[in-house]
Amino acid sequence: MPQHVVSVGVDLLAQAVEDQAAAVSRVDWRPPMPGTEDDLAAVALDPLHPDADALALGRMLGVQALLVDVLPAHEAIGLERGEFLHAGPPITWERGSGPLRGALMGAAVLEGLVDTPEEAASLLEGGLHVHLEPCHHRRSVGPMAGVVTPSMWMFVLEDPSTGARTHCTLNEGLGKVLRYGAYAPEVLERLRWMGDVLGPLLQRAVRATPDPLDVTAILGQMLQMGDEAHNRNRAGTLMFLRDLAPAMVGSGADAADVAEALRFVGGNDHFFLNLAMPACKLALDAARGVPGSTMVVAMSRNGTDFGIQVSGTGDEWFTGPAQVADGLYLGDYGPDDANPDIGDSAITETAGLGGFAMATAPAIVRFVGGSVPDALATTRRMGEITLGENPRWSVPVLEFAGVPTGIDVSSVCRTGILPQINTGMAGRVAGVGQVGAGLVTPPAEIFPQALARLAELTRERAGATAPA
Amino acid sequence: MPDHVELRSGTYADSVTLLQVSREVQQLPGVRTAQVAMATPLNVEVLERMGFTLPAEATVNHLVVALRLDDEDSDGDGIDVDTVRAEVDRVLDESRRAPSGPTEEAPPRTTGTALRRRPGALVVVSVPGASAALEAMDALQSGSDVMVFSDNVPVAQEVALKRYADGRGLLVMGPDCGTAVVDGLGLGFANVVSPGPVGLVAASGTGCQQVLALLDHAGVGVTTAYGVGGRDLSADVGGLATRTALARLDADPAVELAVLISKPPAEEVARDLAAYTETLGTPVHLALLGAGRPDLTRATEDLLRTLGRPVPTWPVSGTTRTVTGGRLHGLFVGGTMKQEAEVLVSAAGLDPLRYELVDFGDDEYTTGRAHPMIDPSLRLERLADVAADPDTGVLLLDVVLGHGAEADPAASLAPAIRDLRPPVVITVVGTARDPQGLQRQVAALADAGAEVHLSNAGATRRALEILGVA
Amino acid sequence: MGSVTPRSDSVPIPVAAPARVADRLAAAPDGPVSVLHACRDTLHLDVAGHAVGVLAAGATGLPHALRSRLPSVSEPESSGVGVSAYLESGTLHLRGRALVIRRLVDVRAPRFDAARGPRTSPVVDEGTPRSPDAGLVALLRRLAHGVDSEGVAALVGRGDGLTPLGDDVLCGWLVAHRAAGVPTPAVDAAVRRALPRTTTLSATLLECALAGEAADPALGYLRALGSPRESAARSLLLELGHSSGAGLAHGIDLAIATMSREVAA
Repeated sequence: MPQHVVSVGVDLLAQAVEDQAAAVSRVDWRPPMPGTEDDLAAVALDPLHPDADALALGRMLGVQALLVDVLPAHEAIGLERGEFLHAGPPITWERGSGPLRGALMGAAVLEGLVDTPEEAASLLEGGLHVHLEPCHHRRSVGPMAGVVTPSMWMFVLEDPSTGARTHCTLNEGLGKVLRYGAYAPEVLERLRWMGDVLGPLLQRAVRATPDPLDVTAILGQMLQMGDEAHNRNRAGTLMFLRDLAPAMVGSGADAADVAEALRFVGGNDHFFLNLAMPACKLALDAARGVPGSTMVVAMSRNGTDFGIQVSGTGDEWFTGPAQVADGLYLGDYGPDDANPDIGDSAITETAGLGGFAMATAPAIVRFVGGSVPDALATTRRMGEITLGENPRWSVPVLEFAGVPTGIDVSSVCRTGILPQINTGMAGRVAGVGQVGAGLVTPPAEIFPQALARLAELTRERAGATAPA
Repeated sequence: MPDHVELRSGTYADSVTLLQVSREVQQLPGVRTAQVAMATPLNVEVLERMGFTLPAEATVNHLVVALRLDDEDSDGDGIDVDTVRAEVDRVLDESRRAPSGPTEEAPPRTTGTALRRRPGALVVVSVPGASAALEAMDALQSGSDVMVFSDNVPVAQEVALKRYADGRGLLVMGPDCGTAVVDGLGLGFANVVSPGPVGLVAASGTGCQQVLALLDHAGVGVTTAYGVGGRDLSADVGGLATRTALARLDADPAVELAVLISKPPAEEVARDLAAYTETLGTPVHLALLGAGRPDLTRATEDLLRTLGRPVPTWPVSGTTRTVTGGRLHGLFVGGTMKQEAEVLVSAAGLDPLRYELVDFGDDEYTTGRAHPMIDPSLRLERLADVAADPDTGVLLLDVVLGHGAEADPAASLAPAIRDLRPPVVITVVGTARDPQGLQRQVAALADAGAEVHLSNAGATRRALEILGVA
Repeated sequence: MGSVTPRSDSVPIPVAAPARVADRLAAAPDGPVSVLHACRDTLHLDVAGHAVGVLAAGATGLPHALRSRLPSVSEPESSGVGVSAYLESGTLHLRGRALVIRRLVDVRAPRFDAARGPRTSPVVDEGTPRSPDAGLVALLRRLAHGVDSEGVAALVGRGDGLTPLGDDVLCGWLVAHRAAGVPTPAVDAAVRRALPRTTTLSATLLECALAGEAADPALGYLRALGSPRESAARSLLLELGHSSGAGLAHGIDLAIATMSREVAA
């Protein structure tokens, strides 16, 4: 005797089961995104598909991200003079928005390619001896504009079981900073200090710490403490300080420098973001390249485009226009002041944190204009479009359910539910800084695009194995 | 009062829900007619016949709201269009709200999510055919059997689903499976049965229901009736679901005899099936229907004898007169009922010009509409036309009871047949405990002047006899 | 499918019923029906001298009971409102609402082959369920060597609880024999003679067991015998009631031991 029936479709059939004193759950079904039915069926019925998703998710959940080193970019990832990494999918200077351009200009001056920001603009416009590339293509991630150049120091995270690595620069702090497109002299001065003092000091401390910092484990603890690792990293930053401070003090560096560094890190609630992001990327990179898998391995924006990469489609980017977030503005800023969505920080949502873990960070909801019930509902809703849960990253108020993990392109197309991202908003004008924070989603159309490509590959495989 | 017709896009609701919405709005005082339906060609035709004019740009993705109000009375009282439109909105909205329960969570949006909350549940899928395989695959991946009520599922998808299921010992019932009984629980259009020694595997819903009804009358219970969909025994599908269903029945110690109800399978499928049934411990009785083969009633009698149970006289209530000449008009809601009648009528040698048998459950009549077992209006319309035609000799109908079917078919059918000129023979397919009340339905129809049978084959033979055909 | 939502007290409640319960209700006379026992999720009513149960959603299935999806079947005792029930034209009404049978459930034990059958039952002495009634325990130990009519007569009605432990053991013993297709005419006759000695509810459940019908966990256990699910199914059975499950399990064990001996002989 079936103890329970699940009915999807016509209510009459569910009612008929209830009329027989049997238990039935009704699925709230809606038609899928227009034009996706055939591709959805092709992918769902692909013999590779169920195991592929399980494999991809399993690989991701098995990754442990340890902080093993701090190195300048030219050593960490072999970045060369004239190379500029940036957040988001590939983009050209012409299409770049204010914050991105400002950050590129500032970085060009920082590296000594030019003397002034104005010259930087010409250099980048000219395109000679300069090369722009997404951070993601060099095993890195960057918040906001995410610009990386050779002299910038980066955290190096490693998964001990495979030796795989990811990288991210050090967080500059709030206000007028390069990642928001500011390039004034004080911005560059701070960056030089970070390269001359902070980076080397952290390197010594990291190398001297007997057990490398387990960033994956810290992320788990953060969720129990009200952080969601995208917009709120306060507890993470403090735990980082607690773990590294002894080695910083004992490093033999100048006491004033140590004090300055401690003050710098301690005064920046977002410092840990730059560890959370590469930890998430490290986990998701393990899931890349599984044929037949519909799991999203990257979500990223460059201030103009929003792009995703999917496990079963290799390095292809599926892009659409980046949206403007909906939320609360600082001071008297308003919607006209906000730049479209920018940054690699959506890698946190891709891994199940940030907007996906909103239920665990009620404090953040007012900042983004929501309510506590909204936060719980959001995390639950993300469960509709994910492959599973992450048992190491759990949400106390949801009875320690793991965060919804493994965004499934098929599920997004079926349900129309888009991944929910919590984000800061950059000012449209370079250098203005943060103008607010809010909720944003990817543009819907990139998911049917990705699905179509997955379906195409499925059909090719089926064609290749079909009997002649 | 002029008509009001509007198109809405981006709105979705299934045809049964829309039928209920239409009925509810139509009950407002001052509303003469309210029709809320998707603008399929069939529905457009129906609306135009009702005198509504639809905008040219209406497509199948549009929802049509067609309203006709009563003329204002002498006091100038009457309902206004906006009030009625607001009522349409309200009722549509309400129909979408999931029934409130004690859960805090929003209802699941996919079968996959629903099964995470209720692992092991049996799944019933009735979404549009293009999306059915997706939901069915969720069920199979979760380890659940699934009944696919939806039709218009491409055969390639059916094959992929059944192959996947076969590798895991799971059962896919359907597509286009309208009836199943699993451990006494009826799914789709199904009758209330007693547990007993017979297990059914059926490629046809109403065929299954006819056998259930006859066995119920004979006092023989049926524990399980699996539907396998109309294409399962084709060469493309190869009988995958039929094998799994038979294996299940074989493994159930309560099942003494398994019965397969279907039209004859493709040749190689029939051979494989025969070989397979040899390997089973439980005897399998084949009730294959078609020209030159026993009808369902005869097949049921045979299986009763196999079981060593007495064969009853199948009940007939009411009387109707004989005529000379004229045409036989069959108006059916059950596809297999119509097919069975067709076999008998052509076997009797009746000239094709002298009969017309229509299955109102066919796609032609149901695109965007509720099935005639739920919404009898199309058949009743045709009945009126045909009954008025002087060439009509005898009318033959079926009424199918059970869960899922309308609550009181006799309420609209009895008045429609009372005082008709041509004789009426009706088969009422139902079991003693069906919610409509089998005895009540039979009595009401007999009282209205019909001769009422439990056996469709019997009713068909009677109709031929009435016409004077040997 | 009407438009007006009827008042809740006139909307019938769909229930599922075992076939013999449906027949009993159909044959019983109209009139008020008294309550034998009531708790939140299970109600036992007296219908012409036999117990008929009404179960709320999630309550354990019993062979004499109607199964509903109601959240509860009784008001809390403190409310002071009694349960009113009556029978009319074969349909039970609870607080004015008709319990309409819309599905039949099979509560009979699945067949198994005693000869092929399962064969480890716990050593009978060690497995004897606990009871403060030392005489009952001694009786059960004696029965380990074979259940006979005198033993039966002594068991009926012995023990505490809604269903005395002795009756539960007997139910288990009887239903296991029915499942194996092994008739036990002498014990059956003795049980029938002894029925007036026990509660109406327990007598009804004994009659069910004579017909091969038992509570869902007992059926589940019988179905799982000899399979990987056997120990999980036994744990579920042991959870039934205060000691009913233990009694049923012990009775099944005794029966299997008896039948195995007979097969070996």
